[in-house]
Amino acid sequence: MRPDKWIYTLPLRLRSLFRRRDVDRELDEELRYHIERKTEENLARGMTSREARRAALLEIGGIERRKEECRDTRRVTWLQDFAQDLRYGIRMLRKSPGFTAVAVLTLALGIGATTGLFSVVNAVLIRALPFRDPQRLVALFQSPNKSKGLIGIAADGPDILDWERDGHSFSDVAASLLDAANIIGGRVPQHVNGEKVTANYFDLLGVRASIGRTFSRDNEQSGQSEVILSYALWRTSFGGQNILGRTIALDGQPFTVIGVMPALFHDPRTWANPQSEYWILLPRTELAKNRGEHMYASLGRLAPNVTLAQAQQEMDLIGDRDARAFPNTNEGMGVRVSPLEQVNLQTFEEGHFQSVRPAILLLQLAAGFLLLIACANVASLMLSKSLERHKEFALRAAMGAGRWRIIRQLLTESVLLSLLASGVGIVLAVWCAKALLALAPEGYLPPTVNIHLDLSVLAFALCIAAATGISFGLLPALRVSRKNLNEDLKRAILGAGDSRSRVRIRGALVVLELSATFVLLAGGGLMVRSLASLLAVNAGFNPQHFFTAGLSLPAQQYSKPEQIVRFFTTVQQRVRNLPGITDAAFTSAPEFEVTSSSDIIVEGHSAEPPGFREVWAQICVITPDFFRAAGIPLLQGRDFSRADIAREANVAIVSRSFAEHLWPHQNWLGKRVRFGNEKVWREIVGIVGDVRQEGLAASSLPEIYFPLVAEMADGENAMNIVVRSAVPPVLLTQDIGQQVASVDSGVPLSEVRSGKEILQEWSGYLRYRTVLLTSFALIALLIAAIGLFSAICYTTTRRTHEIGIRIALGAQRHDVFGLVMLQGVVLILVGLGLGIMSALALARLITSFVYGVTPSDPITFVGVSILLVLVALAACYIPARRAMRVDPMVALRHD
Amino acid sequence: MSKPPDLVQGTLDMLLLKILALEPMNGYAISQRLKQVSRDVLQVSDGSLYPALHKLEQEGWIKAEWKTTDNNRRAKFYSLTKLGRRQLETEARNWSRLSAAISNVVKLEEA
Repeated sequence: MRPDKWIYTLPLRLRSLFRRRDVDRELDEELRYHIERKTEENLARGMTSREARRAALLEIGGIERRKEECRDTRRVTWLQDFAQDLRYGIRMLRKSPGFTAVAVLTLALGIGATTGLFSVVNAVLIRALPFRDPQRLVALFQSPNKSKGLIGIAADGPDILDWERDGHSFSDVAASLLDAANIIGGRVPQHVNGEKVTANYFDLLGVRASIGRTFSRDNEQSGQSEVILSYALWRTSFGGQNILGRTIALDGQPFTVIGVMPALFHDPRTWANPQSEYWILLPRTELAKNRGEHMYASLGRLAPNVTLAQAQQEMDLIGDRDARAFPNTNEGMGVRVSPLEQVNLQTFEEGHFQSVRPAILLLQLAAGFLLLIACANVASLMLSKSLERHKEFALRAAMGAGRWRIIRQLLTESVLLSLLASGVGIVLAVWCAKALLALAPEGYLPPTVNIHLDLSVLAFALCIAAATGISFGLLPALRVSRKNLNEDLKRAILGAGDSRSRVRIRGALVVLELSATFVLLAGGGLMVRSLASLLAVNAGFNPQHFFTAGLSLPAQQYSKPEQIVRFFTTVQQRVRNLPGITDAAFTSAPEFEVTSSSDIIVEGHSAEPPGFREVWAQICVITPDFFRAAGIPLLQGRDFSRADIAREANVAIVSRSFAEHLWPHQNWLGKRVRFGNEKVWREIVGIVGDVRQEGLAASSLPEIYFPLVAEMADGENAMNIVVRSAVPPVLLTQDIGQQVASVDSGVPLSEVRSGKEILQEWSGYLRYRTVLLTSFALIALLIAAIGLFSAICYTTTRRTHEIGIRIALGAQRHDVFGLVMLQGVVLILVGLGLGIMSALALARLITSFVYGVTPSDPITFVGVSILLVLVALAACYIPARRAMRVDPMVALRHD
Repeated sequence: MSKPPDLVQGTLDMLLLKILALEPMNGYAISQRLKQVSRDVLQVSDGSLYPALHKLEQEGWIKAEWKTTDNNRRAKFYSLTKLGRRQLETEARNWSRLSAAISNVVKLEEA
């Protein structure tokens, strides 16, 4: 029976839907026809024409109602009603452009900030790493028990081989070593970063080349002249051309390109390191050398059914075994197994590994606050708006509209508003995500290729839009459509202002906004003070007129240490002779960050056996005059001299924390030290000030400096030049480059930095967080100020009648001003109080992010309070002035 | 929608279907016929007629056509559909059963 029915009814329904006007007209005509016939009938019975018509109408019983009843039967009314609501809503929004613009913009800012941040969160925290089974991947570190502050250091090659051979918890273990080279064969010669990796590296990660192949485990011999390129390098330097089989030169040595990695591939370790652009083979024979030299990063894949804890246990045993077997190098050296996903999220900041997760979540919380404030703002705006319209709603209710109908109307309007806002919000979100990425310091966030707005972010934005639509649509809707229509109408006519409860709700919303804004401002203020404290810290070197750059010597041409020493000393001399240069020297530590460390044994008299002390120190190889060039103070003794270099003296200089660490208050000059795995004693000839190698907030690590003699120069192909000049160093870059080229034209300057840039990098992470949090706080302040402003405006407008009466009864202008301001001041004070309490309560959350101040720092709180109060008072000022100018005659007639 | 108090729910529909089963008519004519046939016993107010007709149309039991009447006026004429005819039979059957049952109860002797 069903399908037959649809044949008749479907065309009918469609017609009711799309041809509504025609259908209505027909209904009209039908009823009119009936009335006419009835009237004629009555006339025939003898009534007058007027009576006849009236009787006919009475019999029908209310034409409009009958028409409505007929329409009700059509069963498409809900759709029609919705369309009507929609049209009405659009018209309402267009009639008050100011309100619409403010509401849309406010909400869009909230949605945009949250969604933009969410897309970053999405990429960083939620998306899995682009490897096979990434949760089974671990990073392996060694951890010296005697090190201060270090959690894990690079592993040494032979140990890695031990782990691979004996570690049954792992199905595979691989190693990698950071590398850099000058590449020739592309468009222009350039200096790129790369990695030497073991043959099983890519297999372990489960990643295949997008073009060509990766290294084969079996053939390490031929593999040594093979290279794999990154997608980015292939596109930019080689034009994306067919590259397989081509030969390119890395530092002068020929390599054959065997493959290109996929575009989405990125390094599995912390992306604090610059991304690798090429990979070459690290043969096992090379790994097996140099026990005790920690320079390799190591990865493992857990065997099936092995847990992290089990793997750690096994590694502890192996570590102990190695410590006993090789006491010179491995004593006290433990092994740490960390999930790769955790390591991946860490930045090496302020001296220890710190996950970026808390920082990003903090920012997400701040964005959430912003959204809350935006919603409260729009809710209060909607409330005010609908209060203005309550006369209209009262009339509609009197005419028969159900309460549900009115609620639906308001809900439709608010959903419309939030959809509009989310459209603008998505545009803002894209812009916000781009800004977040652009501002981020290098290494803080993953490579940008992986971050984009995707469907889940879109869904999130729409969910937020729907939630805000319902939340702020419902509040005014519930308030307005009460049963007490009589009261509403009367009150509207008398202009007595709003009922107490409504004013209270709006007041509550404003207070909520102000307190949330305070919390954000307090957070931002604390970060600003942290940044200031950080920047005030003495970095240990003098960044004024300071310049550093990296020079990398190709290994093949400079295979002998004497060549290396000769090159650097020659360049140092030539650069120093340039006009405008005060000092020039070389160091093995790029930008004061340490690249190698070792066990150092100190000779000395001690009550406790065995008669010497050990310290784990950072190692730096320098040329004479380094301390002068860098501005590091010489505290005791002397710098290295040319004589030391000439006779290859076994001397060393230590930093103050090195000296203080072992034997405070002792005379250090003349004491002797040696490397843990060597026999040669070296004499300490000087003590210098500390440099904060790991950032401004961390304490300095003990450091020991050695002169650049042949013995130390082995392998030190990459050194950094440090230059102090009388003029801003940027002017001299070219001259310096020329001098370097005059010694060897194949060695370019890389990573040129001024002292100021280095300091900026060191405070980069904190600055990033500060900028973001402060931006959110300031936007929140703007929104809250607008909220307060519009709330006071609406209230004052509704009290115009009352104000007119007051003036007529003798109130002065300034009394009126005071009246309005008082309202504002009460809200401000309550909001401030609530805000202070909330900020103190939430202080715990921000403790790990602030530096040099406590989370309840009074100066910050006072400063932020003053800012908030001033802005809020300014927001109240304008409506108060307008109220002052009210003409009592106009006001009394206003309703 | 209001129905005259002495009509059981749904019987109005059945009456309209029956009237239209005999010949197609417009709303006014239907109201005249109803009064005529029931000898003024059944009071169907004109007001409740039209919503009922529209409802029947939405159910697919009657269909409508605009025709010109004798006096050269346009009016909406309703007629029964095949579906409506079947519905009428069903309802007529139900009605006989119902009225028989009621009569049986009414005829019971008081004890």
